This record gives sequence, structure tokens and C-alpha cells, in this order.
Amino acid sequence: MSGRPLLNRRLDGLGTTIFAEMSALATATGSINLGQGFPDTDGPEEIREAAVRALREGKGNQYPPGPGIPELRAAISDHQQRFYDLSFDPDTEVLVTAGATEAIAATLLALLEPDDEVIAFEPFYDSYAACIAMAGAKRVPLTLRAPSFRPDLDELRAKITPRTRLLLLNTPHNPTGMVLTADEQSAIAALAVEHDLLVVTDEVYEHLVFEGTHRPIAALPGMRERTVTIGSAGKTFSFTGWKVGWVTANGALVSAVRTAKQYLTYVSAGPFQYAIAEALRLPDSYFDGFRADLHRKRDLLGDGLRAAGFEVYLPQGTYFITTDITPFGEKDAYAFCRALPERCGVVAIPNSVFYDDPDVGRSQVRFTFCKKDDVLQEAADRLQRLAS
Amino acid sequence: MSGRPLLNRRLDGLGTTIFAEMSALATATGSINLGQGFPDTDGPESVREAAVRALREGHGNQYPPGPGIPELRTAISDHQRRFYDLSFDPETEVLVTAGATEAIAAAMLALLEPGDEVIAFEPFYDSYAACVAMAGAKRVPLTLRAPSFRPDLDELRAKITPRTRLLLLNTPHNPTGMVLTAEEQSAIAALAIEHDLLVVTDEVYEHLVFEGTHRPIAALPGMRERTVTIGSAGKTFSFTGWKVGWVKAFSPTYWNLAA
Repeated sequence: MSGRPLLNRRLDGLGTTIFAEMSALATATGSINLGQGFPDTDGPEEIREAAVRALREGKGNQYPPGPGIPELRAAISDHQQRFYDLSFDPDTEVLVTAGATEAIAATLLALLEPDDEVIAFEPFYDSYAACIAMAGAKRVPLTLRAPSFRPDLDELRAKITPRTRLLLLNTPHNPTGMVLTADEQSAIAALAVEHDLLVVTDEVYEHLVFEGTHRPIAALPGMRERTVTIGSAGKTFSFTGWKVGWVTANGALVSAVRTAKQYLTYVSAGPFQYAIAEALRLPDSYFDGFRADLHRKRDLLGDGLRAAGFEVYLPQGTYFITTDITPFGEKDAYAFCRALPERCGVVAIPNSVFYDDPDVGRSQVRFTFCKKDDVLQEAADRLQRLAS
Repeated sequence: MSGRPLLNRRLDGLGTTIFAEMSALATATGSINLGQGFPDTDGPESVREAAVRALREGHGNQYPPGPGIPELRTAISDHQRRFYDLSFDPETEVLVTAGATEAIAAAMLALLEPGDEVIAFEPFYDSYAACVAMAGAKRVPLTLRAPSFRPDLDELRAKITPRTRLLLLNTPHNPTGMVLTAEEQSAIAALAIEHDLLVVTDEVYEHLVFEGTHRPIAALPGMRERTVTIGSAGKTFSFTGWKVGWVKAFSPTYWNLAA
């Protein structure tokens, strides 16, 4: 093939994710991988066995219904009621997706016209930028700055233009761990209502809030009709490989998102949908225990990173800790992360790649703590070598 | 929400698939559903039990590698060699997808610029139209007419313009069952080379040919470098709900699709 590049201009520069690069480095060097956020321990055995039962009983081995199996949609609806007192009709207001990633892609590909503006927190999860680009829209960053990573609401107001169509929120926020407060949510909601904006909110870490509480922004007055809330089983039940996510929104929004979704994967995860329907009905003790376990791991790794010499921004939620490497006399997180496996056998992710202006996050490095205690301890021990 | 429609203009009119409508009608009336193409008998027990083992041994319960697990990429590569004597590097020329549907969507969203033209057989699988639309490109139909449903190759030639970027093929063809002959494939390949077009070919029914033989168009001279071949486990092994598909292509194309 001659002539123009194979990859279109919208996706130019989005070729390889940082996760692929750093995971390959982890494998090549035999390092402890605290880069990508997936647990090294599978979720509950009873949920795994529910998937085995579904496979053996022939549930989900053929195409499930396009919007997801009724059992899972009912379980998602009940979950929103149980935890947030939010009511969604399982038949018209819930849509099962191939993980949160497809939910984000389908939502943006459905709701955006070319040249629409989308305001999104920065640093941002890399698929946000790609999906906005695929829709032909323009991403406008609202930068979250260390040490608190609170959004500047005056700046948000100033960035809203007549072309703004959608606010893309993420709380608890990956990678900073920031959790929006009730006041911040109210202010954001007021702006959305005032300017008649759609809100898409990625809340996949909803059950991993250690300080403060998670409350869906869809629960605020005037927000239900304009908000698409994205959830996922992967993070909450530690089966990230099953790729079961969902969207809850009013019927008109779900209908629009479903239109794009049905052409992206059509359906997915047949037997796993049955297992997650059971998972969502686990008793409170599961959710409380999971959160307490990750809270402890956060403190374990946080202490280790601090002892190793990092400036540590302890997260309010998620399973990531953002740090700053300035105390080591270093400024370039990307170079630091590329060298880290050789220096001490640990892989992390440079936050700088999650900013439009890499200078803002130039010296930030992200570690995940969704790993076994002894792995976290070993990583902390290895990182001690940085000081010497 | 006031003002403009929630769904963007590109997807206007693509709201509900005919399959959803007819399957709902089947359920409501208790009819025998010969509408949507999924088997009422699951695939081999040995394959199902392999999935059970993977679950219980913790294989794939967390994110698999982005391009797919090495074991599957190798098996896809070996399958192409075994059935078609085609060689694809499992490391760089094979990509696992969430079924053929995602493979088609990713191929269109990666390879097309707004305003590009895509020539595709008509009648067409509904996701083709939607994915071409989402990419902002224009679908140009090449109509297959009863009773034989053979493509008219003169018509194909006439429909190629300077804006044509891609031929979207499907053989064996859903819904007509037409299987491209070797002569038709050669003629199509010659046009693709002459006009320097990309070819995306949906071959998910490759193991369901009853008359004639299936041969991937990627096997023709000059085609490997410009062809993205889409395959799927759902139809061949009767586990449509698992949604395992794949793409095989010359490696530079692969890397772009992987984005």
C-alpha cells in the first residue's frame, strides 16, 4: 500500500497505550508490575462457580439479548436502588456493555456530533481521548492539580462554550484517586443544568472509596434526565477479564447509547452475565470487606512509597496512588518509569501521558495497590534502593 | 434535555436492529424463531469444559493481553496455515476481538477518514452500514440480485471513484449464502490492486460452505498487504455468546487496528 497512512488522522498518535508498553517491560525484566490496574487475586469463588454453572447449563453460550440478560439488568437496577436509592427501569434504562470501555465508546459515539466540545478531567484515562477523537469531537481538559487534585469550578465554568455538549466526569478519579464532594457535584450539576449539557460519568470505582462517600451525580435534582452513569463488574468483583460493564440512564439516553453499542460488539460475555447478576446481590459484607481490604493495601503501599522517598498523594478512592518523583531530584516521569525496572524491578505508569500538556504531570508516577500484600511489601522493599 | 436529538446524525435511523424487533415478536407470540442466526445447540462439550478449566485455574479472569492471549493467536495463525496455507505471524499479524462485530467496527473506525467511500455488497449485515457511518464515511452498495446473487464486476468497476478507500467483502455472504468464486475473487483483487484499495473481508462462515470451496482473498497475489480478514469462533464452534473473533492482516495494518 502506498500513499496516505493506514490509520486515520483522528487516531494519529494514539497507537500504543502506555499500559502495553510498560506491561511488556515488566515481562521482559521480570519486574513486579504495579502499572496496569488488575488484581493478582481472582474474585469470589462462588461467583466463578456461578459462571461455571452458566457454561454447563447452557446459559449465555449463545447470543444473549442485545441489552443484556434480564437477570443482570434487574440486578443492576436493584444495585442502584440498594446503594443509592436510585430507580432505573431494568427494561428500558439499563444497558449491559463489554466492560466500561465499550460503554464509554458507545456513549461518546452515540451522543457526539463532529466538532462538539467535551470537557473532561485531566489527567484522563486514555480511552476518553481516543473515543472523543473517533467521534470527531474536541476534548477540552479541566486540569486536576496536585496535591489535592480538586477540580477548579471557576475554570470549569470558563471553559463552557456554546459548542460544549457534554461533561465527561470520573469519580472516583483514575489516576489521581480524587473523589468529588457533594458540594463539587452540586456545582457541576448546576452548570450542566444551566447550560443544558449532557453528563457522562465513569463511576467504575464506586465501591472503592476510602475517604468520603460515593454518590452518583445522577441522584442530584435535574440530573437524571441528562446523565449517563457507567459502572463495571471488573473492579468491584475482581474479574477484570470478564469485561462486564453497564450504563444506567433515562430511556432516551439508553436508547441512543444502545444504537451505537449494538454495532460495536453487538453483545458480549454471555455466561459471565449470569455470574455477575449473582455478584451484584452479594451481601453488604462482601462490599465492605473488599473496600476494607483495599484500604489496608492503600496504606501499606502508601507507607512503603513514602519510606522509599516519594512524595505520596494518598487517594480518597480507586486502587491507584499517584506520587511525585521530585524528591529524588528527578523530573521526567516517563524516563523514570522506563528506567525503574532496571533500577529496582518495579513497573509503574507515568501520569504525564494522561495530560495534554505533559509538563503539568511531568513528575507524577502512578502505582496500583490491587496486589497481594507480600507483592506490595516486596515492591516497597525494592523501591528503597532508589534512595541509595 | 431540550434542543437537538440525543443520537447523532450519523446514526440516525439505525436505532433498533431488525433482529431485536423480530426476536421480541417471536417471544411475544411463542413462535419458532428462525430469524436470528444462533444455534439452539451448544458447541462441543470438550470446548465448553476447556472454558470451565480456564475459569477455575484462573486463566483469563483478569485482563488478557491487548492483542489476545498468545495461545489463541498461535492457534489462529496455525488454523490459517492448516486450512489455507496462509502464514500470519501470531505476534504481529493476529488480533483477537470481541467477536467479528468488534473487528468490523475497529477496522472501519481505524482505516476510514470522513468522506471516504466504501463499496459493500447489498444486502448487507446491518453493522456494516452503522460502522461506515460512525467513521463518517459513505457506503456505496453493490447489489447482489436474485436468483444467483453473483456480484456484477462491471458494476463494481464503475462504482470505484478517486474517493473509494475500501472494499468491504463478505463471503460466504450473509444473508444470500453466495460464495465468491475463484474467478470473481481474482477480478476483485485485480481491481483492488489497480486502484490501490484496502479490502476488509468478513469470512466468519468460512467453515460453512456446501458448494464450491472457501478461499480467503488474502491468499491472492498482491492481496496480503492490503487485506484485513475477519474470522470468528461463534459460528464455527456454536458458542455465539462467547464473542471471540479475530483479525489477520499484514502487520502494519494490524498495529493500526490494535490502536
